[in-house]
Amino acid sequence: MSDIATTAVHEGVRVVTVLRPRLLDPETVEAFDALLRATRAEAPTCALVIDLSQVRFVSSSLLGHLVLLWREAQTDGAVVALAGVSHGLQQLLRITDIDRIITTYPDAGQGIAALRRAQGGASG
Amino acid sequence: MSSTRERALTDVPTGAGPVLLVDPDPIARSVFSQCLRRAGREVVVLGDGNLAWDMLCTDHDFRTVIVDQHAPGVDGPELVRRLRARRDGNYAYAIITTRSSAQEDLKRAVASGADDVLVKPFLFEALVQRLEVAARISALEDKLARRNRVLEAYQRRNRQTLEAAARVQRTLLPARAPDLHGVATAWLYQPCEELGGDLLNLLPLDDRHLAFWVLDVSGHGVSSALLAVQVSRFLAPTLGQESLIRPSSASGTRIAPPHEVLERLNALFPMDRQTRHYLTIVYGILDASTGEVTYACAGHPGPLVVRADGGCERLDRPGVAIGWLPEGQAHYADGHFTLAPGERLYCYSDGVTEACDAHERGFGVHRLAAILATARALPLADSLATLAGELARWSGEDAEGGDDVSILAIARADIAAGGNP
Repeated sequence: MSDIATTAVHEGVRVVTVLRPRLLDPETVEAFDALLRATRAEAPTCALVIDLSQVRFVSSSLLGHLVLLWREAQTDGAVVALAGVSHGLQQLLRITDIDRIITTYPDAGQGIAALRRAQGGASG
Repeated sequence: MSSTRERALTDVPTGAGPVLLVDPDPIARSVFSQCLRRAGREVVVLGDGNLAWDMLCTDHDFRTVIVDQHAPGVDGPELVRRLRARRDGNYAYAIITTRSSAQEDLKRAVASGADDVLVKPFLFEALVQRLEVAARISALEDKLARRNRVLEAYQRRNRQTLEAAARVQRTLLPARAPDLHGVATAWLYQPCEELGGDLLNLLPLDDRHLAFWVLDVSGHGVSSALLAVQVSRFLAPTLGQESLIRPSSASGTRIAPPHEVLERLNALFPMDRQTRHYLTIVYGILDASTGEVTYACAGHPGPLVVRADGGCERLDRPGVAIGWLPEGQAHYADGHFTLAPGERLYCYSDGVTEACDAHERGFGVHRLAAILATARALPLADSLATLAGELARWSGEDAEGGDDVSILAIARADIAAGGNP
């Protein structure tokens, strides 16, 4: 089990909850990226919510990883969303315009509900 | 003669060198030295610890030292302690011989750094076995020392290469202040490693227009620096058709608006899937005659403008980082403002605002703005020096890691007021 993040499935939506307040050093970022990729590989078309509510700092490298993940998910027809973004991180996401690329939700619960509706709409 | 002794006579292990034997007892010296010679070992025999230490100081070839605990002058444990303190890279295997089996004596012998303790009387075979161990350890120590030397040489070459590369990278920074009437410039560039993923520049486009940019490649180290250098090449005004900022065509050259520069950069530098490097940039053009500034940002903080009254404005302009979206999908819009006489603009990388103190608090844009506003009465370069001092204080002496710090400053002189930017 990873000490960086946990993974779970809620109502058909995969949720990765980051456990660390800092995702800064290259080793942590690489390990987190590997975890996200492994989660996506298990169900490539499944919606994924990344819960960042416990995160205070992220490195700029991590943003690149997230954008690549989002692009790959798009190719598979899957959705990746962020949830629980802290005020400090929001500023970073706004400057980099990442919040216009990857949808963000106030918390994981709202993210799950929205993606579930979207999945339902898409399949129905 | 036993087979063990025959083997010892003919099979001197690799790593075996001359043996220094120190014993105050002449009979013991005679017996041991004969035995060791029969075992094929070169032996120097002494009865005094002082003489032994003198010899060890001048002759570093001894790979095994056998010394009696109570050798006169410098005794066994003291001799071994001195041997271990000698950091010349040559390891000598040390055996202390003693007639005492008292725990205190054995402890003192081992604490001195001895590899082994032999309690007299002992069998010659026991000594030969110890010498085989000594030879094996010496061979390993030699191998380790050789590898360390190779590693040190590699590290030295690496450092020299990085320093040379850093010198080359620095040639890409502004060589001198652009000669534009009423405009002063200054910059600060502090890579967190030898090579930085940040770069900045100030480039006159004609006698009125000054281009300025600060870019920040994600990550650190050589690969980030190489990408930064590669990008900067396209941001030079004298490259003809290749220049993104002053492209030429059959009809002549023109000044490209910032949004166009960023869109073309995005087309040229898609995010690499292996390195996952991308870059953020603020690019702007100042019209020195009017003070009008046109700028665009790609994932980078916008300029900070210090007004003449001390007010500070952040002119962030969200835009996706270069390389995140495929060509044609990343669009940027130009922002405009006027830099009035007596006002200053600062462009910075996030290494400034994200510098952390001992409590992991970020320096922050508000602190940055407050310092620059307070320093507005100082000459432009001094305002950056003040900021650098505040940043160093914030990060602390033990700061490690961190990010590149790049700041570029432009000021218009308040000529009517006789001001100097």
